[in-house]
Order: sequence, then C-alpha cells, then structure tokens
Amino acid sequence: MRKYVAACAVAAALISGAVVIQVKFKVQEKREEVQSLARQIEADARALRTLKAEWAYLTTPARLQRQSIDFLALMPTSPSQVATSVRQIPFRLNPDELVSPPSSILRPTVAKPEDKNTDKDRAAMINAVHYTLKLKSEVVVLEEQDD
Amino acid sequence: MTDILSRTMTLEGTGKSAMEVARTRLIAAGALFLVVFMAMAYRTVELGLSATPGAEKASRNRLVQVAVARYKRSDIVDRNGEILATNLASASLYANAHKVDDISVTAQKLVKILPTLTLADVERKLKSGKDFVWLKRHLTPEQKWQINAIGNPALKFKADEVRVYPHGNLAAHVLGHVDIDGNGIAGLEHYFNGSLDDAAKTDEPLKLSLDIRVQHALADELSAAVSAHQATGGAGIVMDVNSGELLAMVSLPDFDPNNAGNEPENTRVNRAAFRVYELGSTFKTFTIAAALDDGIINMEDSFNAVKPLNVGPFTISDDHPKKRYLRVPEIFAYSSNIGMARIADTLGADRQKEFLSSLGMLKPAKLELTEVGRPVFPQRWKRLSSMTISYGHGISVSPVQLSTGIATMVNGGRLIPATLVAKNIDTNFGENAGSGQIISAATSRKIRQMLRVTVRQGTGSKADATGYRVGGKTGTAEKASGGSYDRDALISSFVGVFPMDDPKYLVFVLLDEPKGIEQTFGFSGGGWTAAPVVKNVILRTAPLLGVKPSVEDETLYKNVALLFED
Repeated sequence: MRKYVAACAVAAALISGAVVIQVKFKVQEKREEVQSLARQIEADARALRTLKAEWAYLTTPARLQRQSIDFLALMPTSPSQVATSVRQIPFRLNPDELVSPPSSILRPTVAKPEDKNTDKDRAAMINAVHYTLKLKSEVVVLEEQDD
Repeated sequence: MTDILSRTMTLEGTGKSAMEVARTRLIAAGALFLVVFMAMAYRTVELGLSATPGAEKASRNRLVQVAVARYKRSDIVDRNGEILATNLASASLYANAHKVDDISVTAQKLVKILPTLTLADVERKLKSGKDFVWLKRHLTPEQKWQINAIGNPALKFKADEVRVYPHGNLAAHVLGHVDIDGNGIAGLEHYFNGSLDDAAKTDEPLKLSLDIRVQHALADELSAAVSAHQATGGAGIVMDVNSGELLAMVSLPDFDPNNAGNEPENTRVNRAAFRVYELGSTFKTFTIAAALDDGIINMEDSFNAVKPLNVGPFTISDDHPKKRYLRVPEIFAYSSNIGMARIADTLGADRQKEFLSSLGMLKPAKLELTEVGRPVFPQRWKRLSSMTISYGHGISVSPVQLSTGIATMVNGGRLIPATLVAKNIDTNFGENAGSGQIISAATSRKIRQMLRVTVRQGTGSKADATGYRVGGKTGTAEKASGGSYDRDALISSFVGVFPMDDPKYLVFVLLDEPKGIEQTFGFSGGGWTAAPVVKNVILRTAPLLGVKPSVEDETLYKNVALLFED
C-alpha cells in the first residue's frame, strides 16, 4: 500500500512536471507569436500611414479631374440638373411597365489610347460627349417649372 | 560482559535515540513540506479563481505592448479629414569619412544614385576625415536600397522623418512649409510650430477649416483666369460668412511645399493674406453701409453725378458715367465714384475712419498665419482722403480683411474674424453671436438687396450663377506707381456672396494686372475678368457645400429695383 502511494506520488510529480514544462514551452511559443504580431501591427500602422499619404496624393482633386476628363463622360452638374423638390419628378406615363434606362446613360465612355492621339481628337471627343449629355439632359432632367 | 552489554546497551540506546530523532525530523520536514505545498495549492487555486489586484498587476507586467507608431509632428487635415500634411518615415544617408578607402569610386556610385549631388562635393565630404558627415537627407526607399547594394560599410543610414504634402501646390500658402529638420518656417506650419511639435499630442491632427475640394475648384478657376488674362498673379478666398471659416484660400503663382527651397521667391508671397491692395469699388459697400446705418442717407436719396467732381487739384470721375442724378442703389450698382464721394462727404471723415476701424480694416487681420499684411492708409484722414477711400482708393487692405468686412455686411452685421482652423460648432457659435454688432440687421438686409441688384442689373452681371442668387460687387483699381496711378495696370476683383436671401458663403477673386482679351472685348476690369471666375467657382462648389439652386423670390428686390431709372 505504502509502495503504491509512493509510486502514485512519483508518477504524479513526473506527469505534472512534464505538463508544466509543456505549458511553459507553449506559453513561450504564444508569447513569441504575440510579440511578432505586435511588431506586425506597428509595421502595419506605419505602412498604413504611408498608404494614406499615397491615397491622398493619388486622389488629389487635380488628378481626379484630369482622370475624369480622360476616361469619363461626366460633366459638371448645372443648376438645372439638381432636382430640389419632389414635385419636379414627373409621373410615369405607364406605371405598370418596367423601365430600364438607356444603357448609354450611366456607362462611362472609356477612351481608347488610339482615340487621344492628338489634342484635336480629344477636343472632338469631349465635344461629342458634351453634345450627347446635353441631349440627354433635355430628356432626363427637367427644367425648373413652378406653377 | 558488562562492558559488552554496556556497549550494546549504549549502542542500542544511541541507536534508538538517533532513529527517534530522525523520525521526528522527518515528520517535521514532512509537515513543513505539507504546509508549503498546501500554501502553494491554495495560491494556485486563488490565482486560478479570483483576480486579486496583485495578480492582475503581475500579469500586466508580462503583457506584450504594441508599440505605437509615433511621429515627431502632427498631421494637418482639412475639415473633412483629408490629409494635407503628414510625417513619413524616411532614411538619411551619412558617412564615416575616415573609413572610406576608395573615395572616388564610392563618390561616383553615389552621384549616379543621387543625381542632385555633385561629384566634387561628395568627394570633398568623403575626404574630410570626419566621423560623421551628412551626404543626403530624406532618401526614397529605392535610393536607400540602391545605396545598400553598394555594400560600403562606411555609408550609414539614420532613421529620419520627412514632411510630405500629398496635394502639392494646393493650399501651399496656407500650409506653408518646413525646413530640412522639420521645423515650420512659413504659413500654418510656422504659426502652429509649437503645438504641432508637442510630443504629448502628435497623434492629434490639426483640423483646418479648409475644404480641399473647394480649394481645388477655386485654384483651378483662378489659374485658368490668370493664364487667360496673362495676369501677374491672383488671389481667391471662399469664406463661410456665418462662422468666419475660410474654406479656401488661394494665391497664385503658387509653389510646391515639398520642394519649397528650390521655388522662386515671388511664388511664396501669400497674395490673399499678406499682400495689401487698393481694392477699389468693393469698398463702396462699407461707405454706404455706414451712411445707411447712421440714418444719414436713405435708399431713396439721390446724389448729383452729372459731371466729374473737382476736389482741389483732384478730379473724381466715373468709369460707367450716367451723367445724371443717381439714387443710392444706382450709385452702388453702376459703381459711381462721384456719387460715392458725395455720400462720404455727407458722412464725414471721422465717422468713416471710426467705421472702418471697427470693421478691422485699419489693423492686420487676426488670421492664424505668420504672414498677415498690415493695411496702409493715410495718417491724416482729410476730406479728399475720405472721398477716395469711399470708393477704395487711398487705402490698402488684404483680401482677407475685405472678405471679413463684406461677410459682416451681409450676415446681419456681426463681425466674425476670419479663421483657418475648423470651428467646433457647438462651442464656438455662442462666442460668434457675442462678437461685435457693426451694423444693424436692417441695414445688412438693404446691403444684401443692393449687392443682389448689382449682379442682376449692374456691373456684376457676369457673376450671376443661375439658381444660386448671387450678390456681389466689382472692384477695379488702378495700381499706384511712382506717385500716380497707372491706367493700364489694374487690380480687378469681385466679391460675391450666395445665396443672397440667406447668405452662406462668400467668394472673393482678385486678378493682378489682367489684360483684356477678345472674349472680354479688351476690357480688364473686375466685372469682366474676376466676376466670371466667381460665377464658375459658385457653380462648382455650391453642390459640394449643400446650397440648393432655387427660383428667386422677386419680392425681396422689388423695392430696390423700382428705384432704378433705366
């Protein structure tokens, strides 16, 4: 009996010692993992700051304006295009019919590289865009009519 | 036997007592171990179950801290949080000169990578024999990589920070710039140098009142006008008339603060805050406001503008002569100098000076910039001075001062100093309400009507942005050169406010020496050159600022419009 107790005690001591060492190693491993994560977080914070500055640089209004002129068929809104009251929106002629807008209205016209060989071509393109927009604005946008 | 017996007995006796001692000791040791183990078990359970303050502290010491990426200087952001200036990590190159062996080869390699350095200069530095000599500050990551690739142990890097202005020239005069060590030496960077550098709060950005989109719209339109009219420069301001916040401040020609050291000196002048100009007819607003507010004149009064007015050797004449008696709104809308001089004469020089002084026209604007212009005005304010000052000649103020003054005229008469720092609406509005009432709300309403009528049917018609009810005043002044005025060198300006039925924003545009072009039929005055810029800026920015276009309430201006003869 006494032997049995002693054997149990020794076994318990050995097992608990092994577990403690295991846990210690595990903790050390986790600790290193956490430390490397912390370093990563700091590095990311620094990178984020650089990226934010780069984002500000790439989205500076002057650049966006150039890009918009080159790639989009968008023009500055005119006051007549701003609907300020619900009354300016007309009733539909055929309320049950499904409406899909003309596909050309919202899709940007992307200029192909060969389209803007010369300034003249580009001016012609911008003119054409302007003209189509004007036509559309007559259809889509309502003039202010308050009666 | 006895001897043996006694020996065994002794042996037995000592043996027995030794066993007993050992046992008791064992028991004592066992008990001690038991107690200590119990204590440890108790402690283990205690640590596992309860969060004792001591345990918390001990575990906190073992916590891994995430190092905060700290920078030496606060960012500057616009009112929407867009980054205008920020510090980024960078590397600077230095050399330990007495460790370089092949000086000429190293120097050649360095100059190839860093083209801004000269060979002779680099060689001289490497030969100097000093332990530490700067070669180049703020390298790009690519340059750093290339220099590392040389593999010379004498070339070393020092972690450094570089101030970056992502928007380049935009708002350069407001932001100013820093020197190579990151100390602000111009603009806001200089004015707020201490608080931007404050180590305790470098992660709090400085929030400006500027809106970078509005700033771009103004800069874009103004630079188009400056190049179209071959002007030597331009200035522009967009201001919130109810809070004094400047949403945009542009001065042309401008510079790139990222490379401020290499930009020509004349681009650094802030023409919107530092330069003072004789601004011409926009000043008529103040004279009329003073006279109306004092009850000296009425809107219905008319003044003789039949022929030029002689005051001593000086002749005051009109740019748009009507050659008849003009009513007060007509004097304003047709910008009659003669009528204005007569009103100033009625008002009196002392009262005029006092009024302009209360508007802050006689001392530098309290703007958060180091470069704020000091107004120029005659020391002896005589009758002739008061007559010319009534239409903006003989007094030079900065565009910021004028904008503040006009904002006071239209916002109900409250003087609200211009500011470049975003205001916290909750905390600052009370303060604004308490600031000086310069003219009565009723006079302010009359001024608004006259400004609107000037755009509808007077000299400012080119600023009428349909739908936004713009009111404004043109200003055309000849530049003083060598004691007299130069008829060909003009300061053309326009100050517009919209929407006039509930004024929100003011747009001021000034062109320095614009030339008349075909589209303006050769005219170069404010109504022809600056007014269209104001119109374009309003058309571009009103949707951004949330001002709705609407049909005008005609009844607001009927009374004033009826006073016009033609």
